[in-house]
Amino acid sequence: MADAQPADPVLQPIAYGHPVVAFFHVFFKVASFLVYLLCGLFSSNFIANFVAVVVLLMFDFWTTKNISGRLLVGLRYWNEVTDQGSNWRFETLEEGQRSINAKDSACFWWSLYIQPLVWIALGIVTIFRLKIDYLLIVVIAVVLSCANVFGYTKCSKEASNQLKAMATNAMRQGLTAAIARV
Amino acid sequence: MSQNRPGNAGFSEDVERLFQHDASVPSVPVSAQQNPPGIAQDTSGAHSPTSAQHLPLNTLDEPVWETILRDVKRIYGNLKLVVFPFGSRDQQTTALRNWDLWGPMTFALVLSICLAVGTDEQRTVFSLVFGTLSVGAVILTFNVILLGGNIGFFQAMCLLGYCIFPIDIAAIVCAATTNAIARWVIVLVALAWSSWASVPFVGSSVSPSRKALAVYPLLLLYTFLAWLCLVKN
Repeated sequence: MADAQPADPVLQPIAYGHPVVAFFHVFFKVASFLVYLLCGLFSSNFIANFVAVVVLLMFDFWTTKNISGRLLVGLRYWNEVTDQGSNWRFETLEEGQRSINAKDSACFWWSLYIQPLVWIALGIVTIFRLKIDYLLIVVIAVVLSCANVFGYTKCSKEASNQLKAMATNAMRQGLTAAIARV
Repeated sequence: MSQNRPGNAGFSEDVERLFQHDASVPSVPVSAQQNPPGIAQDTSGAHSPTSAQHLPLNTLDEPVWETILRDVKRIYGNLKLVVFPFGSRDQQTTALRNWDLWGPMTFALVLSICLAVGTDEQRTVFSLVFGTLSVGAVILTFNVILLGGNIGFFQAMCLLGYCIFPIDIAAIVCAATTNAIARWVIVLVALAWSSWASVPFVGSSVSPSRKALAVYPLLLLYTFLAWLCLVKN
């Protein structure tokens, strides 16, 4: 499952609008996953393994939240707290700002949604292998990746709402103009 | 009961306000409409104006280094606010609204490493400390939210994580020295410092009558960690 993800950006770099960003977007996800899977083979030092995976996960979370989302699909979410409680703010591409590359977008959304699924599957395996301390890593991974999935899903809903509103507005204006002409 | 009522009224008002926000969103671009209140509050907080300046702008096409720079400034601002809480208290309650997870994660890892290195069962100690920290932070956050606190999940995690910083220092000192008196002193100072930095944040986010309920488990967690520093040989 992990092999399918990084293959795309490597094979066809030219087709991507932001190949470097797309690469890192996938790289940190796959790297954290692979290090988690393989660290037991190369090093028995649990602390080093733990720190390596968690740092990779943090890099991935940060890259996805702050870099790849806005460059690959033109979305960005902020969660800030105001006096009224938790407040979501979304940034989406405005009209005519630029268009989104289809490959960028596919790469972004697929890896975004696959990541938590892979980690949840790994978590189930880890539970059955009774490795409670490694489960801690999986929980961190699931929490971080799900936070991004949640944020971006909300953000893209917001974006499509805006588009719809713009379309209805344009239609309404067109209609009123037409009626005025009659 | 009488205390609940105003709370409920406030809550339903909040809900109404939320829906009003939602209803008005589609007609106007979000970044144009929702920002002004957020900015006003951000700049009134003690936060560095640089991070607030960026918020109203369209940041979708900013250079990567600008994103990095903003986050570094944010981490520095958060750390300064939590670790040196000398400013006025209401500035602090509005602070940390720009949460980040780098600080908490780093401090949690540093503390776990410091407490685990040199012990017989490194692996167990490390995962025990890290697990206690993360699970404790989650439970404490839910505790504050359930008590009616006005605090976001990640914000609370951020706050609790940053407030471990003094205990981190105590753990490092304790790893370096075997002098019992020095250890006691540094651990007590660190514990007081952590509590001093974190209690106002948590305490001011819930109503005064529930303050103790929110603060007590927090102190328990920090005391536990400080005690681990102390007993580590």
